[in-house]
Amino acid sequence: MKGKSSHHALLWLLPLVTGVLFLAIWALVKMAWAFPKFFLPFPWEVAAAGWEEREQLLRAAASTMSAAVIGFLGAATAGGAIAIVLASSRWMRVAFYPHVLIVQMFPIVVLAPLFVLWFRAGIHSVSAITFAIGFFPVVANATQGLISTDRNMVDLFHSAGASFLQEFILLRIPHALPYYLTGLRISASLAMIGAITGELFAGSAAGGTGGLGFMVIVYHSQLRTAEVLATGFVACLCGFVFVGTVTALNHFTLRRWHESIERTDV
Amino acid sequence: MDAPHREAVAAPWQDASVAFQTDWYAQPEHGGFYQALERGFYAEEGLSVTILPGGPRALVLQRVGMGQVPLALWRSDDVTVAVSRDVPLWCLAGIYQRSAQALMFHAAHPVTSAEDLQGRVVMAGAASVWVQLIERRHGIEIRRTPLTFSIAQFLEDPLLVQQCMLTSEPFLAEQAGAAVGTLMLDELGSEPYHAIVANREWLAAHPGMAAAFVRASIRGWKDYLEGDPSPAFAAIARLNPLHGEASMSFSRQATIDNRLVTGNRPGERIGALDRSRLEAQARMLFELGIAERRVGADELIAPGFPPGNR
Repeated sequence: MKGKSSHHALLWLLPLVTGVLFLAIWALVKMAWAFPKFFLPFPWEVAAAGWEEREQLLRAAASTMSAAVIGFLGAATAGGAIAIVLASSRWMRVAFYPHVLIVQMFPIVVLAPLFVLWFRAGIHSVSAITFAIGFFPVVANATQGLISTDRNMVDLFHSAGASFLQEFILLRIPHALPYYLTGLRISASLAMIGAITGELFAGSAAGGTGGLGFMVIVYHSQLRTAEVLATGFVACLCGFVFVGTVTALNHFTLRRWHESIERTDV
Repeated sequence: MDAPHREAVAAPWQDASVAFQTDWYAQPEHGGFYQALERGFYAEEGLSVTILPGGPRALVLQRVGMGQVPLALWRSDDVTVAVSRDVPLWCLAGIYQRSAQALMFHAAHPVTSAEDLQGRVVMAGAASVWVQLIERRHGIEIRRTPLTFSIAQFLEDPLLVQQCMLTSEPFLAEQAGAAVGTLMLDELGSEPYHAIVANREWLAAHPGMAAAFVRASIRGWKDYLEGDPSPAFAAIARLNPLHGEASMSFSRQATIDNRLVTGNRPGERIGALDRSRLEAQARMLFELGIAERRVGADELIAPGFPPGNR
Protein backbone atom coordinates (compact mmCIF):
# COMPACT_ATOMS: atom_id res chain seq x y z
CA MET A 1 0.00 0.00 0.00
CA LYS A 2 1.42 3.34 -1.01
CA GLY A 3 0.17 5.06 2.16
CA LYS A 4 2.37 2.97 4.47
CA SER A 5 5.71 3.59 2.74
CA SER A 6 5.12 7.32 2.41
CA HIS A 7 4.15 7.37 6.08
CA HIS A 8 7.47 5.66 6.81
CA ALA A 9 9.39 8.17 4.67
CA LEU A 10 7.78 11.07 6.52
CA LEU A 11 9.11 9.71 9.81
CA TRP A 12 12.60 10.58 8.57
CA LEU A 13 11.85 13.44 6.24
CA LEU A 14 9.92 15.73 8.57
CA PRO A 15 12.52 15.97 11.34
CA LEU A 16 15.23 16.39 8.71
CA VAL A 17 13.38 19.30 7.16
CA THR A 18 12.77 21.02 10.49
CA GLY A 19 16.41 20.38 11.39
CA VAL A 20 17.66 22.08 8.24
CA LEU A 21 15.21 24.92 8.89
CA PHE A 22 16.61 25.38 12.38
CA LEU A 23 20.18 25.46 11.08
CA ALA A 24 19.17 28.01 8.46
CA ILE A 25 17.61 30.25 11.12
CA TRP A 26 20.80 29.92 13.18
CA ALA A 27 22.92 31.01 10.22
CA LEU A 28 20.58 33.89 9.38
CA VAL A 29 20.55 35.17 12.96
CA LYS A 30 24.34 35.09 13.01
CA MET A 31 24.56 37.00 9.75
CA ALA A 32 21.83 39.48 10.65
CA TRP A 33 23.51 40.49 13.91
CA ALA A 34 27.03 39.97 12.54
CA PHE A 35 28.06 38.04 15.65
CA PRO A 36 31.77 37.26 15.79
CA LYS A 37 32.92 33.65 15.74
CA PHE A 38 33.82 33.55 19.41
CA PHE A 39 30.28 34.64 20.34
CA LEU A 40 28.23 32.55 17.91
CA PRO A 41 29.85 30.46 15.17
CA PHE A 42 28.09 29.15 12.06
CA PRO A 43 26.69 25.61 12.26
CA TRP A 44 29.31 24.38 9.80
CA GLU A 45 32.05 25.99 11.87
CA VAL A 46 30.81 23.93 14.81
CA ALA A 47 30.90 20.78 12.68
CA ALA A 48 34.40 21.63 11.42
CA ALA A 49 35.60 22.29 14.95
CA GLY A 50 34.15 18.98 16.11
CA TRP A 51 35.88 17.17 13.26
CA GLU A 52 39.24 18.86 13.95
CA GLU A 53 39.02 17.95 17.63
CA ARG A 54 37.57 14.48 17.09
CA GLU A 55 40.45 12.66 18.74
CA GLN A 56 40.28 14.82 21.88
CA LEU A 57 36.49 14.69 21.95
CA LEU A 58 36.33 10.91 21.54
CA ARG A 59 38.74 10.39 24.39
CA ALA A 60 36.85 12.91 26.51
CA ALA A 61 33.52 11.27 25.64
CA ALA A 62 34.89 7.85 26.66
CA SER A 63 35.95 9.31 29.99
CA THR A 64 32.59 10.98 30.58
CA MET A 65 30.63 7.90 29.47
CA SER A 66 32.60 5.70 31.88
CA ALA A 67 31.73 7.96 34.78
CA ALA A 68 28.11 8.15 33.58
CA VAL A 69 27.84 4.35 33.37
CA ILE A 70 29.34 3.82 36.82
CA GLY A 71 27.11 6.48 38.36
CA PHE A 72 24.06 5.12 36.56
CA LEU A 73 24.71 1.52 37.61
CA GLY A 74 25.12 2.76 41.17
CA ALA A 75 21.81 4.60 40.92
CA ALA A 76 20.15 1.53 39.40
CA THR A 77 21.31 -0.85 42.12
CA ALA A 78 21.27 1.40 45.18
CA GLY A 79 18.08 3.05 43.96
CA GLY A 80 16.39 -0.31 43.58
CA ALA A 81 17.63 -1.46 46.97
CA ILE A 82 16.40 1.72 48.66
CA ALA A 83 13.02 1.26 46.94
CA ILE A 84 12.72 -2.30 48.28
CA VAL A 85 13.46 -1.05 51.80
CA LEU A 86 10.92 1.75 51.45
CA ALA A 87 8.28 -0.57 49.99
CA SER A 88 8.63 -3.21 52.68
CA SER A 89 6.41 -1.40 55.15
CA ARG A 90 4.54 1.83 55.61
CA TRP A 91 6.63 2.67 58.67
CA MET A 92 9.83 2.25 56.65
CA ARG A 93 8.50 4.82 54.22
CA VAL A 94 7.51 7.15 57.04
CA ALA A 95 10.93 6.72 58.63
CA PHE A 96 13.14 7.04 55.55
CA TYR A 97 11.36 8.73 52.67
CA PRO A 98 11.73 12.27 54.09
CA HIS A 99 15.49 11.72 54.25
CA VAL A 100 15.56 10.46 50.69
CA LEU A 101 13.83 13.70 49.73
CA ILE A 102 16.36 15.76 51.69
CA VAL A 103 19.25 14.13 49.86
CA GLN A 104 17.44 14.76 46.60
CA MET A 105 16.86 18.43 47.46
CA PHE A 106 20.41 19.09 48.68
CA PRO A 107 21.91 21.28 45.95
CA ILE A 108 24.33 19.41 43.76
CA VAL A 109 26.48 22.52 43.36
CA VAL A 110 27.10 22.38 47.12
CA LEU A 111 27.52 18.62 47.22
CA ALA A 112 29.95 18.36 44.30
CA PRO A 113 32.80 20.43 45.75
CA LEU A 114 32.31 18.61 49.06
CA PHE A 115 32.75 15.28 47.26
CA VAL A 116 35.95 16.64 45.75
CA LEU A 117 37.16 17.67 49.18
CA TRP A 118 36.37 14.32 50.79
CA PHE A 119 37.11 11.89 47.97
CA ARG A 120 39.56 13.89 45.83
CA ALA A 121 39.04 14.58 42.16
CA GLY A 122 38.79 11.84 39.61
CA ILE A 123 36.34 9.42 38.04
CA HIS A 124 35.12 8.17 41.41
CA SER A 125 33.97 11.63 42.43
CA VAL A 126 32.44 12.29 39.03
CA SER A 127 30.57 8.97 39.32
CA ALA A 128 29.43 9.86 42.84
CA ILE A 129 28.03 13.14 41.58
CA THR A 130 26.30 11.32 38.68
CA PHE A 131 24.81 8.91 41.21
CA ALA A 132 23.57 11.76 43.38
CA ILE A 133 21.81 13.34 40.40
CA GLY A 134 20.33 10.09 39.08
CA PHE A 135 19.25 7.99 42.04
CA PHE A 136 16.02 9.71 42.95
CA PRO A 137 13.96 8.91 39.81
CA VAL A 138 14.84 5.25 40.32
CA VAL A 139 13.85 5.29 43.98
CA ALA A 140 10.63 7.23 43.41
CA ASN A 141 9.43 5.17 40.47
CA ALA A 142 10.46 1.78 41.82
CA THR A 143 8.88 2.46 45.20
CA GLN A 144 5.67 3.52 43.51
CA GLY A 145 5.71 0.32 41.48
CA LEU A 146 6.30 -1.86 44.50
CA ILE A 147 3.47 -0.39 46.54
CA SER A 148 0.88 -0.09 43.76
CA THR A 149 0.43 -3.75 43.02
CA ASP A 150 -3.11 -4.63 41.91
CA ARG A 151 -5.16 -5.12 45.11
CA ASN A 152 -6.92 -8.14 43.65
CA MET A 153 -3.63 -9.90 43.01
CA VAL A 154 -2.40 -9.12 46.51
CA ASP A 155 -5.62 -10.53 48.00
CA LEU A 156 -5.24 -13.63 45.79
CA PHE A 157 -1.75 -14.20 47.11
CA HIS A 158 -2.93 -13.71 50.69
CA SER A 159 -5.84 -16.11 50.31
CA ALA A 160 -3.43 -18.67 48.82
CA GLY A 161 -1.34 -18.37 51.99
CA ALA A 162 1.71 -16.72 50.48
CA SER A 163 4.40 -15.46 52.89
CA PHE A 164 5.53 -11.81 52.88
CA LEU A 165 8.71 -12.81 51.05
CA GLN A 166 6.83 -14.89 48.47
CA GLU A 167 4.41 -12.02 47.83
CA PHE A 168 7.31 -9.59 47.49
CA ILE A 169 9.44 -11.66 45.17
CA LEU A 170 6.74 -13.36 43.08
CA LEU A 171 4.24 -10.53 42.83
CA ARG A 172 5.46 -7.09 43.81
CA ILE A 173 8.85 -7.10 42.16
CA PRO A 174 7.69 -8.41 38.78
CA HIS A 175 4.80 -5.93 38.88
CA ALA A 176 7.15 -3.10 39.71
CA LEU A 177 9.48 -3.86 36.83
CA PRO A 178 7.91 -1.43 34.32
CA TYR A 179 7.97 1.32 36.94
CA TYR A 180 11.59 0.56 37.80
CA LEU A 181 12.54 0.61 34.14
CA THR A 182 10.80 3.96 33.70
CA GLY A 183 12.90 5.24 36.57
CA LEU A 184 16.00 3.86 34.87
CA ARG A 185 15.11 5.62 31.63
CA ILE A 186 14.81 8.95 33.44
CA SER A 187 18.00 8.31 35.34
CA ALA A 188 19.81 7.43 32.11
CA SER A 189 18.81 10.74 30.57
CA LEU A 190 20.29 12.48 33.62
CA ALA A 191 23.47 10.39 33.67
CA MET A 192 25.35 12.36 31.02
CA ILE A 193 24.30 15.70 32.55
CA GLY A 194 25.36 14.36 35.91
CA ALA A 195 28.75 13.24 34.65
CA ILE A 196 29.47 16.50 32.85
CA THR A 197 28.37 18.54 35.87
CA GLY A 198 30.58 16.35 37.99
CA GLU A 199 33.48 17.02 35.68
CA LEU A 200 33.06 20.76 35.99
CA PHE A 201 33.88 20.31 39.66
CA ALA A 202 35.87 17.12 39.88
CA GLY A 203 37.28 16.60 36.44
CA SER A 204 40.97 16.01 36.55
CA ALA A 205 43.19 15.55 33.56
CA ALA A 206 45.63 13.14 35.09
CA GLY A 207 47.29 11.91 31.94
CA GLY A 208 44.15 12.20 29.84
CA THR A 209 41.71 14.75 28.51
CA GLY A 210 39.53 14.75 31.60
CA GLY A 211 36.14 14.33 30.02
CA LEU A 212 33.69 16.56 28.14
CA GLY A 213 32.98 18.88 31.08
CA PHE A 214 36.69 19.54 31.48
CA MET A 215 37.06 20.24 27.76
CA VAL A 216 34.28 22.83 27.95
CA ILE A 217 36.26 24.84 30.50
CA VAL A 218 39.46 24.60 28.47
CA TYR A 219 37.74 25.64 25.24
CA HIS A 220 35.95 28.54 26.91
CA SER A 221 39.22 29.85 28.29
CA GLN A 222 40.61 29.98 24.77
CA LEU A 223 37.41 31.53 23.39
CA ARG A 224 36.89 28.51 21.15
CA THR A 225 33.11 28.73 21.19
CA ALA A 226 32.70 26.51 18.11
CA GLU A 227 34.55 23.76 20.00
CA VAL A 228 32.35 24.33 23.06
CA LEU A 229 29.21 23.81 20.96
CA ALA A 230 30.75 20.77 19.27
CA THR A 231 31.45 19.31 22.70
CA GLY A 232 27.83 19.91 23.63
CA PHE A 233 26.61 18.04 20.56
CA VAL A 234 28.96 15.14 21.28
CA ALA A 235 27.51 15.01 24.80
CA CYS A 236 24.06 15.05 23.24
CA LEU A 237 24.95 12.08 21.06
CA CYS A 238 26.36 10.17 24.02
CA GLY A 239 23.15 10.89 25.89
CA PHE A 240 21.06 9.41 23.08
CA VAL A 241 23.24 6.31 22.97
CA PHE A 242 22.91 5.94 26.72
CA VAL A 243 19.14 6.35 26.87
CA GLY A 244 18.74 4.22 23.75
CA THR A 245 20.60 1.37 25.39
CA VAL A 246 18.48 1.54 28.51
CA THR A 247 15.27 1.78 26.47
CA ALA A 248 16.31 -1.29 24.49
CA LEU A 249 16.90 -3.10 27.76
CA ASN A 250 13.45 -1.92 28.82
CA HIS A 251 11.74 -3.42 25.75
CA PHE A 252 13.70 -6.66 25.95
CA THR A 253 12.87 -7.21 29.60
CA LEU A 254 9.22 -6.26 29.38
CA ARG A 255 8.60 -8.36 26.29
CA ARG A 256 9.76 -11.44 28.11
CA TRP A 257 7.91 -10.89 31.38
CA HIS A 258 4.99 -8.59 30.92
CA GLU A 259 2.99 -9.22 27.78
CA SER A 260 -0.10 -9.11 29.94
CA ILE A 261 0.69 -5.92 31.81
CA GLU A 262 2.27 -3.80 29.08
CA ARG A 263 -0.56 -2.02 27.32
CA THR A 264 -0.38 -1.88 23.54
CA ASP A 265 -3.34 0.39 22.91
CA VAL A 266 -1.61 3.62 23.96
CA MET B 1 41.56 64.67 53.25
CA ASP B 2 40.03 63.46 50.02
CA ALA B 3 36.44 62.31 50.29
CA PRO B 4 35.94 58.92 48.62
CA HIS B 5 33.90 58.63 45.41
CA ARG B 6 33.89 62.34 44.67
CA GLU B 7 31.63 63.46 41.88
CA ALA B 8 33.41 63.35 38.53
CA VAL B 9 34.81 66.74 37.51
CA ALA B 10 33.59 68.35 34.31
CA ALA B 11 35.30 66.52 31.47
CA PRO B 12 35.18 66.49 27.66
CA TRP B 13 33.20 63.23 27.56
CA GLN B 14 29.41 63.04 27.81
CA ASP B 15 29.06 59.88 29.83
CA ALA B 16 31.81 59.57 32.42
CA SER B 17 30.86 56.08 33.61
CA VAL B 18 33.31 53.26 33.00
CA ALA B 19 33.08 49.65 34.15
CA PHE B 20 36.30 47.81 34.92
CA GLN B 21 36.11 44.05 35.23
CA THR B 22 38.78 42.46 37.40
CA ASP B 23 39.97 38.89 37.16
CA TRP B 24 38.81 37.63 40.54
CA TYR B 25 36.83 38.49 43.65
CA ALA B 26 37.99 41.69 45.33
CA GLN B 27 41.46 41.04 46.67
CA PRO B 28 44.60 42.97 47.64
CA GLU B 29 46.10 41.92 44.30
CA HIS B 30 43.74 44.53 42.83
CA GLY B 31 44.78 47.03 45.49
CA GLY B 32 45.96 49.84 43.22
CA PHE B 33 42.62 50.04 41.44
CA TYR B 34 40.63 50.23 44.67
CA GLN B 35 43.10 52.80 45.96
CA ALA B 36 42.54 54.94 42.87
CA LEU B 37 38.79 54.61 43.34
CA GLU B 38 38.75 55.36 47.06
CA ARG B 39 41.22 58.27 46.84
CA GLY B 40 39.28 59.88 44.04
CA PHE B 41 41.99 59.61 41.35
CA TYR B 42 39.49 58.42 38.77
CA ALA B 43 37.11 61.23 39.73
CA GLU B 44 39.93 63.75 39.31
CA GLU B 45 40.34 62.52 35.75
CA GLY B 46 36.63 63.00 35.18
CA LEU B 47 35.73 59.32 35.32
CA SER B 48 33.02 57.55 37.27
CA VAL B 49 34.48 54.07 37.60
CA THR B 50 32.71 50.90 38.73
CA ILE B 51 35.01 48.00 39.60
CA LEU B 52 33.32 44.68 38.87
CA PRO B 53 34.80 41.72 40.71
CA GLY B 54 35.33 38.59 38.67
CA GLY B 55 35.09 34.98 39.73
CA PRO B 56 35.74 31.40 38.67
CA ARG B 57 33.17 31.24 35.87
CA ALA B 58 33.20 34.85 34.70
CA LEU B 59 34.01 34.75 31.01
CA VAL B 60 35.90 38.02 31.14
CA LEU B 61 37.58 38.09 27.73
CA GLN B 62 34.31 37.09 26.05
CA ARG B 63 32.54 39.95 27.77
CA VAL B 64 35.18 42.49 26.80
CA GLY B 65 35.32 41.06 23.28
CA MET B 66 31.59 41.60 22.87
CA GLY B 67 31.79 45.07 24.38
CA GLN B 68 29.59 44.13 27.33
CA VAL B 69 32.28 45.65 29.51
CA PRO B 70 34.86 48.08 28.11
CA LEU B 71 37.87 47.39 30.32
CA ALA B 72 39.24 44.48 32.28
CA LEU B 73 42.31 43.16 34.05
CA TRP B 74 43.58 39.99 32.44
CA ARG B 75 46.70 38.02 31.55
CA SER B 76 48.42 38.96 28.32
CA ASP B 77 48.95 35.32 27.27
CA ASP B 78 45.20 34.67 27.23
CA VAL B 79 44.72 37.98 25.40
CA THR B 80 47.27 36.84 22.82
CA VAL B 81 45.37 33.60 22.26
CA ALA B 82 42.12 35.57 21.96
CA VAL B 83 43.60 38.08 19.52
CA SER B 84 44.90 35.17 17.43
CA ARG B 85 41.24 34.17 17.14
CA ASP B 86 40.28 37.69 16.02
CA VAL B 87 38.70 38.73 19.30
CA PRO B 88 38.80 42.56 19.26
CA LEU B 89 40.99 43.34 22.28
CA TRP B 90 43.83 45.72 23.03
CA CYS B 91 46.32 45.77 25.89
CA LEU B 92 46.62 49.27 27.29
CA ALA B 93 49.13 48.91 30.12
CA GLY B 94 50.99 46.19 32.01
CA ILE B 95 50.06 46.56 35.66
CA TYR B 96 51.91 43.47 36.88
CA GLN B 97 55.31 43.38 35.23
CA ARG B 98 55.76 40.01 36.83
CA SER B 99 52.80 37.68 37.37
CA ALA B 100 52.24 36.58 40.94
CA GLN B 101 51.28 33.12 39.71
CA ALA B 102 53.46 30.47 41.25
CA LEU B 103 53.52 26.86 42.28
CA MET B 104 53.41 26.10 45.98
CA PHE B 105 54.91 22.92 47.36
CA HIS B 106 55.78 21.47 50.72
CA ALA B 107 59.37 22.26 51.65
CA ALA B 108 60.11 18.56 52.10
CA HIS B 109 59.28 17.82 48.44
CA PRO B 110 60.55 20.81 46.50
CA VAL B 111 60.00 21.68 42.87
CA THR B 112 62.85 23.67 41.39
CA SER B 113 62.42 23.02 37.69
CA ALA B 114 59.88 21.84 35.13
CA GLU B 115 61.39 18.35 35.20
CA ASP B 116 60.51 18.10 38.91
CA LEU B 117 56.86 18.41 37.89
CA GLN B 118 56.90 15.29 35.75
CA GLY B 119 54.46 12.84 37.30
CA ARG B 120 53.63 15.10 40.23
CA VAL B 121 49.98 15.86 40.91
CA VAL B 122 49.45 19.57 40.34
CA MET B 123 46.32 21.40 41.37
CA ALA B 124 45.75 23.81 38.51
CA GLY B 125 42.81 25.59 36.99
CA ALA B 126 41.39 23.89 33.92
CA ALA B 127 41.33 27.21 32.12
CA SER B 128 45.02 27.93 32.60
CA VAL B 129 47.00 28.36 29.43
CA TRP B 130 50.21 28.10 31.42
CA VAL B 131 49.79 24.36 32.06
CA GLN B 132 49.71 23.56 28.35
CA LEU B 133 52.50 26.02 27.73
CA ILE B 134 54.81 24.44 30.28
CA GLU B 135 53.87 20.88 29.36
CA ARG B 136 54.58 21.40 25.69
CA ARG B 137 57.63 23.58 26.15
CA HIS B 138 59.38 21.14 28.46
CA GLY B 139 57.89 17.94 27.07
CA ILE B 140 56.48 16.85 30.41
CA GLU B 141 53.09 15.59 31.49
CA ILE B 142 51.47 17.14 34.52
CA ARG B 143 48.88 15.17 36.46
CA ARG B 144 46.35 17.90 36.84
CA THR B 145 43.70 17.94 39.55
CA PRO B 146 41.10 20.69 39.70
CA LEU B 147 41.65 23.89 41.62
CA THR B 148 39.40 23.98 44.65
CA PHE B 149 40.43 27.50 45.69
CA SER B 150 41.29 26.21 49.15
CA ILE B 151 44.45 24.79 50.64
CA ALA B 152 42.67 21.98 52.48
CA GLN B 153 43.86 19.27 50.14
CA PHE B 154 47.35 20.78 49.94
CA LEU B 155 47.70 20.68 53.70
CA GLU B 156 46.80 17.00 53.78
CA ASP B 157 48.98 15.84 50.90
CA PRO B 158 52.74 16.46 51.22
CA LEU B 159 53.41 15.68 47.56
CA LEU B 160 50.74 17.94 46.10
CA VAL B 161 51.83 21.00 44.15
CA GLN B 162 49.27 23.77 44.02
CA GLN B 163 48.91 26.68 41.63
CA CYS B 164 48.81 29.78 43.76
CA MET B 165 49.36 33.49 43.91
CA LEU B 166 52.69 34.23 45.58
CA THR B 167 50.91 36.92 47.53
CA SER B 168 48.25 34.71 49.03
CA GLU B 169 48.25 30.94 49.50
CA PRO B 170 51.78 30.57 50.95
CA PHE B 171 50.76 32.96 53.73
CA LEU B 172 47.63 30.91 54.46
CA ALA B 173 49.60 27.66 54.39
CA GLU B 174 52.24 28.96 56.79
CA GLN B 175 49.51 30.23 59.08
CA ALA B 176 48.14 26.68 59.08
CA GLY B 177 51.56 25.44 60.13
CA ALA B 178 52.96 24.07 56.88
CA ALA B 179 56.50 24.77 55.69
CA VAL B 180 56.19 25.69 52.05
CA GLY B 181 58.27 26.87 49.14
CA THR B 182 57.28 28.49 45.87
CA LEU B 183 58.40 28.44 42.26
CA MET B 184 57.36 31.38 40.14
CA LEU B 185 55.77 30.41 36.84
CA ASP B 186 57.92 32.90 34.98
CA GLU B 187 60.92 30.75 35.85
CA LEU B 188 59.23 27.98 33.86
CA GLY B 189 58.68 30.16 30.83
CA SER B 190 55.23 31.56 31.46
CA GLU B 191 55.77 35.33 31.56
CA PRO B 192 52.51 37.12 30.96
CA TYR B 193 51.70 40.63 32.04
CA HIS B 194 48.56 41.20 34.02
CA ALA B 195 47.34 44.02 31.86
CA ILE B 196 44.52 46.49 31.48
CA VAL B 197 42.61 45.16 28.46
CA ALA B 198 40.13 47.14 26.39
CA ASN B 199 37.47 46.43 23.80
CA ARG B 200 38.75 47.80 20.48
CA GLU B 201 35.55 49.49 19.40
CA TRP B 202 35.18 51.18 22.77
CA LEU B 203 38.78 52.35 22.71
CA ALA B 204 38.37 53.83 19.24
CA ALA B 205 35.36 55.77 20.49
CA HIS B 206 36.83 56.80 23.86
CA PRO B 207 40.61 57.12 23.61
CA GLY B 208 40.70 59.99 26.09
CA MET B 209 38.74 58.09 28.72
CA ALA B 210 40.97 55.06 28.28
CA ALA B 211 44.12 57.12 28.74
CA ALA B 212 42.61 58.81 31.78
CA PHE B 213 41.72 55.43 33.28
CA VAL B 214 45.24 54.12 32.75
CA ARG B 215 46.84 57.27 34.23
CA ALA B 216 44.63 57.19 37.30
CA SER B 217 45.15 53.44 37.75
CA ILE B 218 48.93 53.77 37.64
CA ARG B 219 48.68 56.64 40.11
CA GLY B 220 46.51 54.44 42.33
CA TRP B 221 49.05 51.62 42.21
CA LYS B 222 51.93 53.93 43.11
CA ASP B 223 49.93 55.30 46.02
CA TYR B 224 48.88 51.81 47.13
CA LEU B 225 52.45 50.49 47.13
CA GLU B 226 54.30 53.56 48.41
CA GLY B 227 51.71 55.29 50.55
CA ASP B 228 48.99 54.31 52.97
CA PRO B 229 46.95 51.42 51.59
CA SER B 230 44.12 51.62 54.09
CA PRO B 231 41.56 53.11 51.68
CA ALA B 232 42.07 50.16 49.35
CA PHE B 233 42.07 47.68 52.23
CA ALA B 234 38.80 49.10 53.52
CA ALA B 235 37.15 48.81 50.11
CA ILE B 236 38.37 45.26 49.58
CA ALA B 237 37.34 44.13 53.06
CA ARG B 238 33.87 45.56 52.46
CA LEU B 239 33.49 43.59 49.23
CA ASN B 240 35.20 40.41 50.31
CA PRO B 241 35.01 39.42 53.98
CA LEU B 242 37.64 36.74 53.41
CA HIS B 243 40.35 39.37 53.57
CA GLY B 244 41.62 40.70 56.85
CA GLU B 245 44.38 43.12 57.72
CA ALA B 246 46.99 40.37 58.01
CA SER B 247 46.39 38.71 54.66
CA MET B 248 46.13 42.03 52.84
CA SER B 249 49.32 43.40 54.41
CA PHE B 250 51.16 40.21 53.51
CA SER B 251 49.96 40.42 49.94
CA ARG B 252 51.01 44.06 49.56
CA GLN B 253 54.40 43.42 51.11
CA ALA B 254 55.02 40.37 48.92
CA THR B 255 54.09 42.46 45.88
CA ILE B 256 56.59 45.13 46.95
CA ASP B 257 59.40 42.73 47.94
CA ASN B 258 59.17 40.74 44.71
CA ARG B 259 58.73 43.88 42.61
CA LEU B 260 55.74 42.27 40.90
CA VAL B 261 54.07 45.50 39.83
CA THR B 262 57.11 47.74 39.48
CA GLY B 263 59.28 45.15 37.78
CA ASN B 264 62.88 44.21 38.48
CA ARG B 265 64.41 44.25 35.02
CA PRO B 266 65.80 47.30 33.19
CA GLY B 267 63.10 49.31 31.47
CA GLU B 268 60.29 47.91 33.61
CA ARG B 269 57.95 50.19 35.49
CA ILE B 270 54.25 50.18 36.37
CA GLY B 271 52.22 50.18 33.19
CA ALA B 272 55.00 49.33 30.75
CA LEU B 273 54.44 46.83 27.94
CA ASP B 274 57.58 45.57 26.29
CA ARG B 275 57.09 44.76 22.61
CA SER B 276 59.78 42.10 22.33
CA ARG B 277 58.55 40.32 25.43
CA LEU B 278 54.98 40.20 24.12
CA GLU B 279 56.19 39.00 20.73
CA ALA B 280 58.37 36.30 22.27
CA GLN B 281 55.38 35.03 24.26
CA ALA B 282 53.16 35.20 21.17
CA ARG B 283 55.69 33.24 19.15
CA MET B 284 55.92 30.58 21.86
CA LEU B 285 52.14 30.30 22.13
CA PHE B 286 51.87 29.84 18.37
CA GLU B 287 54.71 27.31 18.13
CA LEU B 288 53.17 25.30 20.95
CA GLY B 289 49.87 25.18 19.11
CA ILE B 290 47.97 27.20 21.69
CA ALA B 291 47.50 30.40 19.69
CA GLU B 292 45.93 30.13 16.27
CA ARG B 293 48.59 32.24 14.56
CA ARG B 294 51.59 34.38 15.36
CA VAL B 295 50.41 37.68 16.80
CA GLY B 296 52.56 40.78 16.51
CA ALA B 297 53.04 43.44 19.17
CA ASP B 298 51.14 45.89 16.97
CA GLU B 299 48.08 43.68 17.30
CA LEU B 300 48.38 43.55 21.07
CA ILE B 301 49.41 47.03 22.21
CA ALA B 302 46.88 49.74 21.48
CA PRO B 303 48.37 52.60 19.44
CA GLY B 304 49.40 55.40 21.77
CA PHE B 305 49.49 53.11 24.79
CA PRO B 306 50.82 52.74 27.41
CA PRO B 307 51.04 56.47 27.99
CA GLY B 308 54.69 57.37 27.64
CA ASN B 309 55.71 54.14 25.87
CA ARG B 310 57.90 54.32 22.80
